[in-house]
Amino acid sequence: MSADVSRLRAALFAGLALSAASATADAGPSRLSRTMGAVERANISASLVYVRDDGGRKQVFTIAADGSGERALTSGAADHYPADVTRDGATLAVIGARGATEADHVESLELVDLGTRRARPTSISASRLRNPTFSPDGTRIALEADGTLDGQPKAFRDVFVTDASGGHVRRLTHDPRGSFEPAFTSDGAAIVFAASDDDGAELQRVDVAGEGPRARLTHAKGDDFSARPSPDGRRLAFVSARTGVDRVWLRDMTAGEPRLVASRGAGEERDPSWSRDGTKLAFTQRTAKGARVVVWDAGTDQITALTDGASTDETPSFSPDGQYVAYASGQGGARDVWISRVDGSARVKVARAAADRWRPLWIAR
Amino acid sequence: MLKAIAWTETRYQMVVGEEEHEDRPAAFGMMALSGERLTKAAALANVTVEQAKTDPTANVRAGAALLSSIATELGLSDRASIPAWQASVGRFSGIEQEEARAQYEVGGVFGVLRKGVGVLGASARDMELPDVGELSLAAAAPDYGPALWRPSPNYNSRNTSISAVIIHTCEGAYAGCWGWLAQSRSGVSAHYVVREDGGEISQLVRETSRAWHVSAKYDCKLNGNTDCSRNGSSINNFSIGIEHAGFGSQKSWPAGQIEASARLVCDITRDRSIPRDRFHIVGHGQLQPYNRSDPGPNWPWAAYISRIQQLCSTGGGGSSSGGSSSGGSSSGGSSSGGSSSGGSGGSFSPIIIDSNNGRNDRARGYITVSDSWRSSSNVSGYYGTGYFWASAKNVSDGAVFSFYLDSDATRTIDLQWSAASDRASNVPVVAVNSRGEKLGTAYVNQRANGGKMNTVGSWAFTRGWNQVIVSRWAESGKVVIADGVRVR
Repeated sequence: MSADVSRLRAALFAGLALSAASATADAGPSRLSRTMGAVERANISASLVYVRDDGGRKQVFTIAADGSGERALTSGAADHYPADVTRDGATLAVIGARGATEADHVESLELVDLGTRRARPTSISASRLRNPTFSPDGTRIALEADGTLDGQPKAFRDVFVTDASGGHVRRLTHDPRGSFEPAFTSDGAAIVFAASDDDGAELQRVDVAGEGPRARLTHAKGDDFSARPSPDGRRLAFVSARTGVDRVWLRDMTAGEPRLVASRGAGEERDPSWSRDGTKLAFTQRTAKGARVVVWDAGTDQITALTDGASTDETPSFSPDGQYVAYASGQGGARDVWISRVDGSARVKVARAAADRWRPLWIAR
Repeated sequence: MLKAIAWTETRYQMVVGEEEHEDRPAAFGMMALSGERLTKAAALANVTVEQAKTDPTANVRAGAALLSSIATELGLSDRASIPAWQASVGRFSGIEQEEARAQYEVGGVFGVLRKGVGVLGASARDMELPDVGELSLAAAAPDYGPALWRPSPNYNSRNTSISAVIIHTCEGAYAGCWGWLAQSRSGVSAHYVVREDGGEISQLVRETSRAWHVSAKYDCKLNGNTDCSRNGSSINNFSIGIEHAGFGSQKSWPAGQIEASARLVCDITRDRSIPRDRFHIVGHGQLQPYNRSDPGPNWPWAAYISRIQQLCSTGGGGSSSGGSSSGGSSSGGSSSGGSSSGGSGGSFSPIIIDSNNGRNDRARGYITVSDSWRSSSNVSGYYGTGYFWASAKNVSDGAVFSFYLDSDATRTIDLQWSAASDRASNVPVVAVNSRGEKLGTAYVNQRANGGKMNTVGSWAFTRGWNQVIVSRWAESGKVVIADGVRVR
């Protein structure tokens, strides 16, 4: 029954969007319009990358914000997933997963030059390779991999650092129980990550130089994970299960007790993602029917919902100028990439042709 | 009968199945029709395959037509007699494994009818249900006492340690699930299968053996003959696989099933020293670098992991009595100690007491030892600048770590030591409140887990100076270490 309802909602919404579009086409970024005109979309100085799944191998595609010029960035006998983009929009890190089955498959780091749209392999390859992320200045890559990366097959997963081309691999942690989800601090000097402990996963910090002691950032029963240092260096956002439900929490980067970002809402939260200036944090909140994307504003301490949660909307990503949020939406049944104005006043599906698209990331152009 | 079948298969949900096991096609709709059965059923009911997959009426009609045709094939003469349908229901299930098929008939469909589920009215309640006898009782499972042992031939040995638990969904009902995994033809297996209501668990493969739960064997030919050396890194090598009867697309999971699974995983992780968090207890879908909906739309991950942690929380205090609060899985279990033990949620900053009083804030904590304890820094992995050691002996001569609390509070005690083979494996750690009352004793193995704080237990301490005592009353011929204590 819920499928019928969401189909009905989608049909209603599509009708609404269509009539609004015809009335306000090319009207520019009017905050009154419920949808975004072609001019407004063409003026967004960034494009998108995402996974497109046409039933065969998953590949990374790119598209302009106005829905034009969709094309593949990866190809071949591997599934490809976009992982992170340098701040200048020059390079995209991609994970390629090879192997006919889920068992024993090999995951490799590939780098896509977004100028030439050429993907090039690196020497980074392991049976589990996760969460490659660029340092703010783009000169380093941190990632999580198992010990097949550096010939220590008994290791679970640890944090490694490489240079910008995937060379000079350095192991930063050596935890028998594992370290996960590395993220650079805003100055690029340290990495925050999750490490398994007796009470579940906890957040820790280690210097990129690997010299200093590791600092433990959280002490809570239940998992703390998905650490996201704010680009302005002031805060650390993360997901914690300390109340028995996954919620997004914030703490000062240097010290202090963490606090819940959203004071209300009982549903699980995930996917925290900062705007470039560190003044806004987008994340996903589960609802009865799916999930919605919300934005927290550091200035007002208010939460704005960008979607209504009637379908599953997830993995938000801020445009470089902070004015738009892209996300994957299950609206209408099929998954596709949508963008919303950051104030929630309008949203639009990016591509015209139907396809299964998810995990969008913005690239500056 | 149709309602009972639908309940047994899917709990009346219009499922959209996934192909969980190769050669076992995805099932659709309330009647869980799949593969050739789906095609045949749709044709018999004169609906399209798509309708039979997605339209509830068409799905049930297709299932009814298939059941009817099976009954004709089997020469069922008295269609009005409910018991006479047993063989037809068994064949309808598509389960080949004999015991599993019997369980589907007796424990599944006819069991549902007996309970009144699926019975339409009072007159139907008076129907005479078949006396189908008792199911043969499977033996107790080798690794998990509450489970039944239904061995699968689909396993081999492994020489790596176990470091992860993989959560699967059967994409089908319980009996068909373990029945399929227990026969050699399937070429797949799992260590455990958990029934929909959590009332029964089957173990199919010993935990120390390698079950084939994550897809098929790696074939490096399919990968251009590259990375063949990586054959040794199969997830199957280092993981335990648990199947859960049901479908990934279902809207919710029964509380009983989640609870039973959490108890099983607590047992596995305790026996195999697997960390209890979402990096080591993961869904099948999370084996991809990124999956479509991480970590899966409806499995209650946070509540599930919290419950496993709660069930397995170490030490004394009130933490082990949290089981009574498990009524529903959806709300999850917050830690049992109440608000004061919420760790970083409150204003209490942890107290760390070093074995070197020069490093302690004497207003908050300090150590006292007798002359028989000796200072050392020979073995690394200690907290601070060194540690005290003493030979194990049945004497009351413990190292006393005292700490001050300004109000009554439940606090968790962590202990650090430097591990080595000459340490005792059963060092008693005694908690005493400010009134001198013993709160409990926990035991730590100081041959392992050195170099870090290890949780010992949580106790309700009182306002004033409390004590944690590392006792010498341990394995003779070995030594005990007093190094660092954290109160949080």
